[in-house]
Amino acid sequence: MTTAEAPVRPRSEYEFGFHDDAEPMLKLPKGLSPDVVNAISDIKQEPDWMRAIRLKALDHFNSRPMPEWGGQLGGIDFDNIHYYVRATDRDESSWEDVPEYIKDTYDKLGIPEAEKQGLLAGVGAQYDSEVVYHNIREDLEEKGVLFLGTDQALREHPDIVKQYFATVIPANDNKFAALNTAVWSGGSFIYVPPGVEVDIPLQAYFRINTEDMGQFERTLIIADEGAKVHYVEGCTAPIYSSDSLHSAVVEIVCKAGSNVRYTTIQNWSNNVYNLVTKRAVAYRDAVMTWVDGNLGSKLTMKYPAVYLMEPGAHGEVLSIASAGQGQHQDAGAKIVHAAPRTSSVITSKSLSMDGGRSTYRGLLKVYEGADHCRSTVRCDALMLDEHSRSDTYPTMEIDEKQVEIGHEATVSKVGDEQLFYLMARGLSEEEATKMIVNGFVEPIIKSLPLEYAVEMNRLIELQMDGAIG
Amino acid sequence: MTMPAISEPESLDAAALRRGVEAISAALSEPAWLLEWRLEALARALAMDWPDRRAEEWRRTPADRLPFRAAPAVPVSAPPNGRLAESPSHQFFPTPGQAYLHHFAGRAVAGSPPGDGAILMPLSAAAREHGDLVRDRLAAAGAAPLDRFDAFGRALWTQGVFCYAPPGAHLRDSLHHLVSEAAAKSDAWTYALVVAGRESRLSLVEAGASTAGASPERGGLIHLSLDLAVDDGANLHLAAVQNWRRGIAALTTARADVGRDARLRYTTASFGGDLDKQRIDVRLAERGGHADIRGLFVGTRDQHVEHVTRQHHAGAGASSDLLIRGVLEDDSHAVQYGVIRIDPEGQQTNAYQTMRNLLLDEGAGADPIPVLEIEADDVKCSHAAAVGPVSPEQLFYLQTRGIPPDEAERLIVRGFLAEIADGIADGHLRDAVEDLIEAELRIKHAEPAPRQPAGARA
Repeated sequence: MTTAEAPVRPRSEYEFGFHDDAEPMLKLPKGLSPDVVNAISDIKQEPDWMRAIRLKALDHFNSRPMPEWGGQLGGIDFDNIHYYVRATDRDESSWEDVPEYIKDTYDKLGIPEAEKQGLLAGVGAQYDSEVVYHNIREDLEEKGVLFLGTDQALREHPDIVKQYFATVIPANDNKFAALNTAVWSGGSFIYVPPGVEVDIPLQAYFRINTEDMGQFERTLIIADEGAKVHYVEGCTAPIYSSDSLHSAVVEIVCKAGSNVRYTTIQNWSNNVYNLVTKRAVAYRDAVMTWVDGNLGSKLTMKYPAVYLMEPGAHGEVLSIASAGQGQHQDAGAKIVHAAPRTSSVITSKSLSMDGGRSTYRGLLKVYEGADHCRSTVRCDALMLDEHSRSDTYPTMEIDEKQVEIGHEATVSKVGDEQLFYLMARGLSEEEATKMIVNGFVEPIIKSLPLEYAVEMNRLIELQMDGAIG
Repeated sequence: MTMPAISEPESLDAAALRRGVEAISAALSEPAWLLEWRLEALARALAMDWPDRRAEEWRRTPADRLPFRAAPAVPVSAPPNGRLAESPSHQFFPTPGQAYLHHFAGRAVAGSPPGDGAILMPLSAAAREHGDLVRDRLAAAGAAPLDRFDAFGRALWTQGVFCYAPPGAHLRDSLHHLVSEAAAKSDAWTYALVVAGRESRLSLVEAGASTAGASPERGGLIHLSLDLAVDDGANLHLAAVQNWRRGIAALTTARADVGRDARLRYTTASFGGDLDKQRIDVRLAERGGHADIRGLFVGTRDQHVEHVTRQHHAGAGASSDLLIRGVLEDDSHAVQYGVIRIDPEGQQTNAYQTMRNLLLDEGAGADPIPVLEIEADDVKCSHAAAVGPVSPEQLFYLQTRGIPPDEAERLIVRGFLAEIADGIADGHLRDAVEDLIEAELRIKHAEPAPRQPAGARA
């Protein structure tokens, strides 16, 4: 393997690598046990049914083997993780009331500023295990839109949480979903009433601050009939010498005629294991879109899924991954056609540079009887140097005749002719390469809201600095 | 000659297997070193586990169709005295005068020998007559069986063949190795060592079929291990075709090494059996090497047809291409798990894969899985996979020209498979494959189709 020959690059270029030294208010001891799970449930003063779900999920977690596929998970030491860390005991709706050092963190990340400028319909911020800030535009609140921390939703709307919790992703779905279900804390809860359209994005921002910590947020989105919502999440963490674990579960219910778009820009520091289960069910004529950007983390294993349950439903996954030094992005998509006349599109673009490894792993499943389905899967990979690696594992399981299923993938490097052409017009090799990479990822970038598109391009350029030349 | 018993994995009896291997080797009058080679393979097989059914290469293979077991093959009686005309493989027979070797009911029958210094003979006989050559080549080939089946295949074979083109020889006609299965419900192990010497040209047909009217009872494993060496500058075309009876599980394990500026074309056509699983593993380590893997199949009833392929680019400057086209009728199911693997040394590689599955009936299904694992950047790699019915536009077009729907579908399917069938070098085999395609499609449409006169073929 030539990975070791890649030039070693300082990690200090990661601009969100700062951390604050404030002692958290409450930190449960390291390790996982029924006591820890009970303690979390006690702290949150949860109803008994949620405690029972957690304890059952812990059993599932303990009885499931570690996955042997995907990335190298051997570095995760489940005994050396804080499963619950609380910095403050309040979930505020005004930044003035958020503790100063936490607000500073979000100021550096530019979140309050964006909210002030009216770019967002609502903002949530999670710091370690708990949501510290949530706010939503008043007019949306009046229309009955709920945008809360999931813990708060459990307190204030227990019936609706109970109705949907773990119905899209059962506790025993996989080892890490079981872990999340046992120790979940924080995350966003969104409910959009029938016919209500949320015109600009709701955003949540996830931050890990404490060393050796696991963040296990749980997000639940319900778009009622004909509703429309776009949810955006961003993630960062400081750089510590030991690894952190982020293992979220995101469940989405798209009822008939609804339209949900979920955008993730994941820029964890390079010592975070990012093992996330995301799944949506889409009913008649609903449209579900995952836009998934993976730039950070040490290892990401994440395959956003759409189950197309009723005729006319449409699922789409736009995925962009960039793997630099010491990184493995094992990302992809999963689409299940369980009803006739459903359609799906998967578009994946991946970059590998500086010894990094990008993997597309996908499943496209068509059940017998799901006739007249259409699906197109397109995966393109760009290799920026000879130290890096690119994999494509697209699985298709087609049990119905009347379908149109196509899959295409390519792997290539930046073309010498393209470089030559641009350099002949006076660009340096580095500028030319960046321009070609920009063009390569453009189909995904242009599906992002403008300010995220700008941010995404900037992050990719940042990662490429020092990787080329 | 052999009447294998069936033993389940938990009762694998090492001593009995060893006695079985010794008995086979003695019955075939093999030199001592060949028995040693078999016993080494047996030791490897015993040291290995059965494949992990959760592994990607195995998880879609129906467990009830391919039981994990190994049959100690012990010669029991004199072979029945079969005549060629009664042989089920006669549909694959060459034109008179062409060289062939026919394994039929435990006997090896050779036709006229090949010219140009080429060799086509039972492996045991070749080991006696061309000892050093066979020994060297076997030593190179036997090193790493792909899995336990492959390892057992090398130990237990009773139907061995050695096919060899000396350096520089250009063989005009294809050589043929035919295997006919007798009606007995039994396991059969075939091993073929194929060597195309430097700058030679060699074409080999590897064909298998069962006795017509044999019991369709499920059971019986037919295993074929193939080792292919394509030396520098050589050109090897191997066409493997099978039309086993119902009930058979056919497992093929082929490994090929392609040398500098050498070319391999491996064409496979699958028709019979309840299960047909082919593992084709091609390694390209030298500049200028090229491998073409072509597969066609027609699935009917509840057949399971599976291709597990690996295009392994271990060195720079080679190319490879995979093209699989299959038609699935009734409740049949296909799996294609194809890997393009490029090592860090594999710069300037061009590698492609295409998998296309045509579904003709509601119960049919296909799982195409084209995989890329790439560790070099100066490469051109792509793959494509598709699953769907016959294009309604094409059907409509033909119907506007007055062709009835059934006939139109048959025409389209024939055209779809022709791209692969046309690439079979041996004219007789090509005709046989086209006849089999016709026959399978005719069963589906349950109407008599007029047989074209042989001269009308394009």
